[in-house]
Amino acid sequence: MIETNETREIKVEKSRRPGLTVDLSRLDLPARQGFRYSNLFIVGAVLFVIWYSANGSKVSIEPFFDAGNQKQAAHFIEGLFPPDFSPEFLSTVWRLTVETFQISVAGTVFAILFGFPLGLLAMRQRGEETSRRAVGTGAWLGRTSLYYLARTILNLARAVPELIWALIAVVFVGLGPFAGVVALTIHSAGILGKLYAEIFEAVDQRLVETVRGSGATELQTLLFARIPLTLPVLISYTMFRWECNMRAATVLGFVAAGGLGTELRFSMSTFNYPRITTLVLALIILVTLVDLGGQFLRKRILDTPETVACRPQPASLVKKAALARLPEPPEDN
Amino acid sequence: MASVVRTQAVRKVYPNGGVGLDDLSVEIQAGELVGVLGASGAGKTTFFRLLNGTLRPTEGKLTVLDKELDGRLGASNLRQLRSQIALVNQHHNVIGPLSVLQNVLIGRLGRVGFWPALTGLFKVSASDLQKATESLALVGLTDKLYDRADDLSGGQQQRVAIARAIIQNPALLLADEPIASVDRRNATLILEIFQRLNAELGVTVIMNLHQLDFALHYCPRILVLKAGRLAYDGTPAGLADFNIYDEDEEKIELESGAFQPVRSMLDD
Repeated sequence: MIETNETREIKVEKSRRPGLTVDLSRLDLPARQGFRYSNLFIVGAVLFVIWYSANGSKVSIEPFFDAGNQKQAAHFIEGLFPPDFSPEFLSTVWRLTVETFQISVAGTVFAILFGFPLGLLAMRQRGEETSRRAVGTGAWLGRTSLYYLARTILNLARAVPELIWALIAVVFVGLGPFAGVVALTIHSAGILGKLYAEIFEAVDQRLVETVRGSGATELQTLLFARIPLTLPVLISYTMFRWECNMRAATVLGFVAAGGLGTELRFSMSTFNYPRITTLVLALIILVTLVDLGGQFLRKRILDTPETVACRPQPASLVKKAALARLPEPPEDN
Repeated sequence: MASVVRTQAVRKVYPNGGVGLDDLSVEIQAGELVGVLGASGAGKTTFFRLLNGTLRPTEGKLTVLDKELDGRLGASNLRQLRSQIALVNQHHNVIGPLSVLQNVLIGRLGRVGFWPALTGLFKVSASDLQKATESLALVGLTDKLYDRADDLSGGQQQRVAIARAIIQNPALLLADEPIASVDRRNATLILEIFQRLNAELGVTVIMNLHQLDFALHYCPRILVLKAGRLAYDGTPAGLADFNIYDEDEEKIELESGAFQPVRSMLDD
C-alpha cells in the first residue's frame, strides 16, 4: 500500500520567546506520517472479530436467569457444605496435595533443563559479525537451521496444552504422576524456552558488544552479560511458570495423570459435593503457599546487592594491592 | 608487525542507506598514539566499531593486527583478534549487576575457556584477584572492588573499563570518547594512563575525542573525519588553521546573542 499523505506540522514562524529566533524555513525538516485510511479499516476489522467471537460462542446474560439453571446451581451450592473433613479423606487429600506439589516441581525443573538450551538456540543473533557474510555460508546455514528447528520444537511444545500432552504421555509411560511430569515438562519447556530467548534478545546490544569486544565467546557473553543483566526477570518468569504448573498439575488428574485432579474428578462424577469443597480448599491453600514462597524468594534475590554471588576474598591481599599506589603495569601473560 | 591498522578505500554503508565512512585510507603503526576528531556523526564511532570487527566494511580492505576483517574471518580468528584489542567507551562500559572485580575480569575472557569463566563468576583465583586489583589501583578504584558496578558514577565506570583494558594486556587500545563524561582532573588521569600504556608497554592507542585542547596536548598524530571522509591526517601543529567541524552545521544560525552558535560551543 503506497501512502503519500505526509503532513508538515512545524509552521515556519518567528518564535515568541524574546532573544531566541530561529529561521526554520532554512532547515529541511522531516515530515510526519499523516492519517491513514487503512488504519480505519483495521479498527473496523478488529471490532467485527470481537462481535463475531461473542456471537459464535453464544455470549448472553440470559442463561444465568434461567429457572432450571438456577435450581440446579442452588442444589450444587447447598451440597458443597459442610466440607468432608473426615480423617481418612483428609489423609488422602494430604497425600494428593503433596503429589501435586511434587509433579509441579519435577515438571518445572525438567522444563528449565530442556527449555534453556532450546531458548539459546531460538535466540535471534544480532550484530553484523553474526551475518552470513561475516561467518561464512556454511556456519550461517547451520546456525539458522538450528534456530528454526528450535523455534519449531518450542512452538509445537507450546501449542499443545498440558492436558493433551498428558493424554499422550499416559499412552507412553502409563497412568500416574510421571505422565503428569512429562506433560508439564513438554508444555512448560515450550513456554520457558521462548521466554528465555526473548529475554536474552532484549539485553542492551551495546553491553553485549562490550563483553564480546574483549574476545568473549557467545557462551561467555551469556555468563557475563545476558544472564547477570536479566537474572531477576528470568527467576520471576520461571517462578511464575511454576505457579502455573501447580494449577495445571491439578487439572492433569482429570486424565489420570496424578495429583488432586484424579480425586476431584471422581468426586464430581459421584456427586460427592462435600469432598469437592475439601479438595478445592486444599488447592487454594497450596497455591497461596506457593505464591508466598515465590514472593519470599523473589524478594531475597531482588534485594541482594549483588545478583550474582561474589564471595569477598582475603582482605590482606586487597589491602596490599591498594597500598601500592600506581604499581608497575602488569607484565605480559 | 609494523602496521596495526591499515584501511584501503574503506566504505561503510548502513542497511538504512546512511554512509558511515567513505573512501577512508589510513595506516597506523605499532606504538602510535592517535587522536580522532570530528563532529557528531562524522564517522568516528563507525571507524571504531569497524576496527574491532563489530561492523564490517561494505567496500575496501581493512586489516587490523595482520588480520583482514572481511567475510572469511572466522569466529575463532575474530576472538583471537579481539583478545588483543581493548575497548573503552563513553557509555555501556560495565555490566551493572556484576561486581567491579568481575567487570575487570571480563578483560581476560578472550584468553580463558568456558569453565574457568563460569567458576570465576563465583570464586576468583588469587592470581586473577592480584592482577585485577593492580589494574584497579592504576585507576584509583581498589576500594570499590566488590561494589556493584551500577552503583558507580559514570566516570568511575569508565575507569573500570580502563582497568579492564589494562588487565587485557592489549596490543591496541580503542577509546571511544573516554573523557566525554568526566571532569578535567579525571580526564587528565585517564589520558595519562593511556600515555603510560603507550610509552611503557608499547600499546597502540587510538582515541576519539571531542576536547580539542586535550587532543592537541596528548596526541602526536591527529585524524579528522568530516562526513565520513578523512579530512586531516597530521600533527597537532598543522591543525591550527583547520576547521574541524562540518560547514553544514553553520546553517543553524541563531540571530541574537542569547545562544552561542554551535561552532563556538564546540570549540570551547
